Amino acid sequence: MDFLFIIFLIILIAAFFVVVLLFLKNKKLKKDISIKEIKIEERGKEMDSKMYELAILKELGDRVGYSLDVHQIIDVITGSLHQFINYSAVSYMLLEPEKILFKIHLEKSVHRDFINEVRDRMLKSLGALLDKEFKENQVEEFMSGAILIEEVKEPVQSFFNIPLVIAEKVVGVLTVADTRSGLYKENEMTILYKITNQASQAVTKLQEVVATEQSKLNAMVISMTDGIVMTDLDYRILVINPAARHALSMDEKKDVTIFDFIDNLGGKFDIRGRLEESVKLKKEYSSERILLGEKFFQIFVLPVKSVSVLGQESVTGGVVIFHDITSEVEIETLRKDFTSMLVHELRSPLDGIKKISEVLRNKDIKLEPKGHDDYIDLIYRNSSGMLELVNDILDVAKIEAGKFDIKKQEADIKKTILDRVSFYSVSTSDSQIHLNASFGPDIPEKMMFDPEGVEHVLNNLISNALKYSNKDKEVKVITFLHNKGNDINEEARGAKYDSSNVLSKDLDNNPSSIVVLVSDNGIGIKEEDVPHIFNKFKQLDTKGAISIKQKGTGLGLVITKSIVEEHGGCVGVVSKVGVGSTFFFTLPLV
Amino acid sequence: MKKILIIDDDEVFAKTLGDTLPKEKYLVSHVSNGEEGLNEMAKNVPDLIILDLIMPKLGGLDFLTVLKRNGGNKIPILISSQLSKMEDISNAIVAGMDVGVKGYIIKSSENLDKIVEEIEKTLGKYSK
Repeated sequence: MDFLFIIFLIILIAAFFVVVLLFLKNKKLKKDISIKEIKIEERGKEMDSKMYELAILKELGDRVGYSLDVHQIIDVITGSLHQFINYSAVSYMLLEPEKILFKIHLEKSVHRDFINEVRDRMLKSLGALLDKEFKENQVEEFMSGAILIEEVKEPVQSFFNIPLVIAEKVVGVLTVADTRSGLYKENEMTILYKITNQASQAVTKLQEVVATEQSKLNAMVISMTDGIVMTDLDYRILVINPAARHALSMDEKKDVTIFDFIDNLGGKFDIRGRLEESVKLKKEYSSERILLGEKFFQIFVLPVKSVSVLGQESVTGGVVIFHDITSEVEIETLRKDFTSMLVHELRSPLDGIKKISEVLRNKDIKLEPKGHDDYIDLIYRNSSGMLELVNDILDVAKIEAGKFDIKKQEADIKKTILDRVSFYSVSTSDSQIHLNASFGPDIPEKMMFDPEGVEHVLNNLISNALKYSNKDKEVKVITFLHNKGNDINEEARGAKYDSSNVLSKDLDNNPSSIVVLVSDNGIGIKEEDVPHIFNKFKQLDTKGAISIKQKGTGLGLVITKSIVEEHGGCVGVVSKVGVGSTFFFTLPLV
Repeated sequence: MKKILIIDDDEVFAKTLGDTLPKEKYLVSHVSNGEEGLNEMAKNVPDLIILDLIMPKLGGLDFLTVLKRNGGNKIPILISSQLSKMEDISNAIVAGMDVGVKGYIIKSSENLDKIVEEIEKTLGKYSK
């Protein structure tokens, strides 16, 4: 019996232990489950918020597209926030150039004082963020959502502010506020932070991309030599580059409008009318040449078309291009001037000969014997002048066709020069112009050149020098040997060159050659004309020449240049108005 | 005797015109630019001036401007030039309208006889 009791007791004790053990185990299990449940719940919440974030970002992406409009983006955020956070009102404040935009959306009806409080608090935080003081009258308010109520005055009990930051700059604040207290906890706020953060990051990045593209485009537009102006559909100027400002003398003007263009074009071009045609009828237009200031322009007006994703084309504005055609017009004018100059140069002597024959034929006119001789002399001079001109025209035609050849042979350069100088000395004896030649040392007796060509060159340079000299003036032909690397001016002075016109230092490194200077103390050449005088079509203002017989066609220098270059040498001139000119050419020794 | 002053750098034109104008009726003098023309006018007042346009020192248009600046001119002026473009002609006429310019002769399109005729007509009309 006792034995049985003991066994029972043992079983009882064991059962007790088992029960205790089971109880403890169960308790632990329960605890584990509750922890897991909490975790699951948390994860669910987290998932929810992640989903929300994703949803809102997707919505942002879909609705905003590539818009950089901050309002639109914030509207999207505030518009979908209520799915996630409880509030009586969501609002934002944005800093604008002239004002502060305040937009508030009511989820529940509140008293007017509630809105005022939200506004004042936001204004304060915005001021604190930007370290500025803002006044109530700067605020422009927009309200939407639930209506205001009069009877219950409930103050702001919960309030949360998030700064809106774009490209590291505070542009405004976003706020949620409620009449109930203790609402906004860390969890919700973190998510709100994340959303605004991501949105602002996206905008910042997008802005950067657009800014780089814009700056590339701007750099291109700015550096273009054509003037470019772009307008929107209401003819507001969106883009204007420096060339366009310059074309209309508005380099310094700020905020250029279409009216400035209308004023500055002064009726020469109907920019408004052409833009309207372009924008409304999609017409492209190009003008005749138009003189603006001192330059000629051709003006183009085109519609700006943009193609939507669906391939639909729409006009978003107009572009006006001011294409500078001054140099084309100048060449055209030069060509015309050149032709009419040639005609004049040929017609004058021909007409002279015709008039002489009229006199000689007229039986009523009794001429003295000397008169007859004078006329014969004039006929000779006029016809030789014409012949010379015709020959020059032929030579230039040959040069242009690349058929102008020189015939080099061994000859005496000194003799060629002296021969020309004495020829002109005879013809100038009566006009009191002194023509003389001087030579430096070591000039070779024989060298290779085309005597006929060099004669032609000397004729041109000496006759020009005589033409542009006044009475009692000196023309000098100075010849010397230049050794490569030596100071050419020193070498020239060694051969009695004494003009104040200094030869370019660049010539020092020319190959060793014979240098011939033809120097006068005549009227000189204007600095701006110097680069052109060896070009065809560029006849200088020859009003300074003494008589019409002395006006040149300018062809002589074109031919001179060609002959010298065929020899491997170079031609040039140094000149000063009132001082005189020194023309030079070189003939390389080898 | 009527005095005619030719201001022209075209020696041939001046000489042929001078010889064609009957010696018994006209006293012809010739200078070859506007500057000399002004001097000559001051020394020896002519009854008519034949004026070229393109000349060295002082061209025809500048000559007319000087006349205008100096208080006008009553002596009839005929412009004779090789310039034949309408633009050049009208420029010269406009520049000379109130300083005595009475006509424009395109040199190469007129015979000397015709030019003399023109001179006589102008003198008959405007000279006292």
